Amino acid sequence: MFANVEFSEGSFLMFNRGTQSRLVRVAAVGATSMCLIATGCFMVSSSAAAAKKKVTGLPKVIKIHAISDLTGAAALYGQAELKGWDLAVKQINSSGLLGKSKIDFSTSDDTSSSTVAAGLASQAVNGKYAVVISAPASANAVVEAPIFSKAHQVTVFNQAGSSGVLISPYMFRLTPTAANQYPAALQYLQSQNVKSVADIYLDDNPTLTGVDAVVASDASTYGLTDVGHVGITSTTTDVTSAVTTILGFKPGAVAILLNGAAAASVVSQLRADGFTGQIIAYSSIGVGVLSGLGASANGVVWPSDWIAPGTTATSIKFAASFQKAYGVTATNYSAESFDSMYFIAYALKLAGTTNQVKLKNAMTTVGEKGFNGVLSNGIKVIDGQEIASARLAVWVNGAAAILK
Amino acid sequence: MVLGQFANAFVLGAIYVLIAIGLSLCWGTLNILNLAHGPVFMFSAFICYYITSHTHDNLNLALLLLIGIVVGALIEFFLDAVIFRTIRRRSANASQAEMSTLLASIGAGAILVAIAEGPTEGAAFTVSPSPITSTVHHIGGAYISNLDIMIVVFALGMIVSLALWVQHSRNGRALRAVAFDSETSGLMGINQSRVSALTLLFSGASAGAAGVLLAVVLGALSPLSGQDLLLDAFAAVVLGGVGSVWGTLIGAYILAGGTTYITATTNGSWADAVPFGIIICVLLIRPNGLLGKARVDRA
Repeated sequence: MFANVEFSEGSFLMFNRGTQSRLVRVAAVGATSMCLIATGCFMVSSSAAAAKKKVTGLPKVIKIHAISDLTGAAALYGQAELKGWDLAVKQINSSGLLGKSKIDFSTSDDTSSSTVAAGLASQAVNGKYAVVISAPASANAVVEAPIFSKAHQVTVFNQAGSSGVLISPYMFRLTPTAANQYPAALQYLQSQNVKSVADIYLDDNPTLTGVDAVVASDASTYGLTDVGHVGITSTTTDVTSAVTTILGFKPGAVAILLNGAAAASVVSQLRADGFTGQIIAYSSIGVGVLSGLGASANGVVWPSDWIAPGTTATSIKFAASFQKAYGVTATNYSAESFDSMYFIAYALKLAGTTNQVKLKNAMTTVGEKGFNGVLSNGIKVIDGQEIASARLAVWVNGAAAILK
Repeated sequence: MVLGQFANAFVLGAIYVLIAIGLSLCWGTLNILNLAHGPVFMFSAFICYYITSHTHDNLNLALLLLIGIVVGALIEFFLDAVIFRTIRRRSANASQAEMSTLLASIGAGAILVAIAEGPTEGAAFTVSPSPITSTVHHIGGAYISNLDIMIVVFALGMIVSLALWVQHSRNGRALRAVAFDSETSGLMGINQSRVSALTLLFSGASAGAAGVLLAVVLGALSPLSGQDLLLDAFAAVVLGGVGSVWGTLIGAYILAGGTTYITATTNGSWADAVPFGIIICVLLIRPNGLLGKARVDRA
């Protein structure tokens, strides 16, 4: 009936009304069918594309941003971390770990100020980053955390060991807490038959205040008598009075829970005042702080999650590439940040997407299964917190070494 | 231990004197509250670190001190010649000049800190690859090193020399005239630019010496060390009386004593609060400080 018939208005009108009506109905059904078929085809191709997209899922450029203390009081740690991140990003991008996707890594400097940090965090949540890495200083991380938590932003922390940081399942801290590491130093004192310990600590630093509390609570576990504590602030430059007070407690060992120049000053002053007992310190003392003290710094011991060059193949390779890239020995801060970037990369690969929920889940999975990093093989991140065993470092003749 | 804390306070007071005297002189005579003074103190030590870290030479203390003094003097001379004098010349009145130089000095200090943070990356630095050691004397429970004694002698010597210079020398009289009435002193033929240059040279030299000595005694400084000590120096100046040489000495030692006592007897967080509390009390009774004189502003 339709063969070789040109449909035109004229020819349509040739048919009677019943036929016209049937033709209209057929045409309508046909048109609808065509639409449905076309739509179905489109959907099939879309889902095929989607399925294909799901498999790779990662954008060509994966944006990761770090808000760090690159200047100011905590610049020491921020700069060390930056080197670790940069080196990791270079290696991840060149190795093709994420297929054709590349990490676009950017940083902003909060100048070690919590006010600036909060402002940068508010900007970062609008930056559509796959992951934001937060500041090392606890005081800054604590103000950033609620902002990222509210935005369900996947966040990784290096350092920032105080409470009030891991407040959301989207958050992961890729640094073991100092409080968990410090008992290793107390155990060392026990092995050296030390009977008493006093400590000098920064009482305006949440992490170090926490370690001071660990010394107070755990000393007796290791056969030590806790004979006294002296707190100073981060603005204290002259430490002689604090040192004299500490020595008045007549401790067998002194724990120096300070950062930067103050730590070096206390070591220097203790030895100048005739103290010959064991000195244990906090991990930040390993960042070249003792370099100018000569022989008086020999024998200072501190717990650390990593000491160059480490013991595993991954660790030794990292230490060598770091030395080659920057001309200085890597510290545990750089090792931690390097591992954290690889942790992120493994999670991105597993998730196959930068969708925050899926990425969060992937990070949880990677952390629970464990991954091989610089710090050790099988690094685990449980409930957002990295677990790593402590090693002991000792300062000998101008450099840090693994204490055997 | 008590004797040890006395010794600590004695040395700490000398350190405060070294930093505060330059600040007091500039503020008292030229109405320049130079908040770059603390960073200059740090920067002088930083330059020593920079030289020794690049040459890998162990310079002796005398040479390090000379470098610190020269660097400090030159920086503050430059600040005065290029910035402070220009501001004073272009300001509508003394009050505006004072505020503008204050702000400019904060900026200049921030630049010095930023420069020091570059090579050090915020880390502590020393002025010599190998430590400069000295003999330590154990006297009745107190440990005092030759370096400590040197700081005290240096600080007291500087104060006495400055006091004598201000009182008896021609330039010292000129300085006092400018402090009393800069307008009239200018009319009387006193070259204010020369006076201001000499003052800033001395101020910078004292800051530079303090920086090097403190870096040697403490073992290390950080780029922010100068700013931390500046507040203490400021407090010593206000307590003793702005522009008063002997007042600065007394203020420095009262502050050092208070800080040492509080650190020794309480939690360290009170170390900043209580000395400043003492200052508030003193100022309520004597607003111009212990030995300060009331200013007479001419209309």
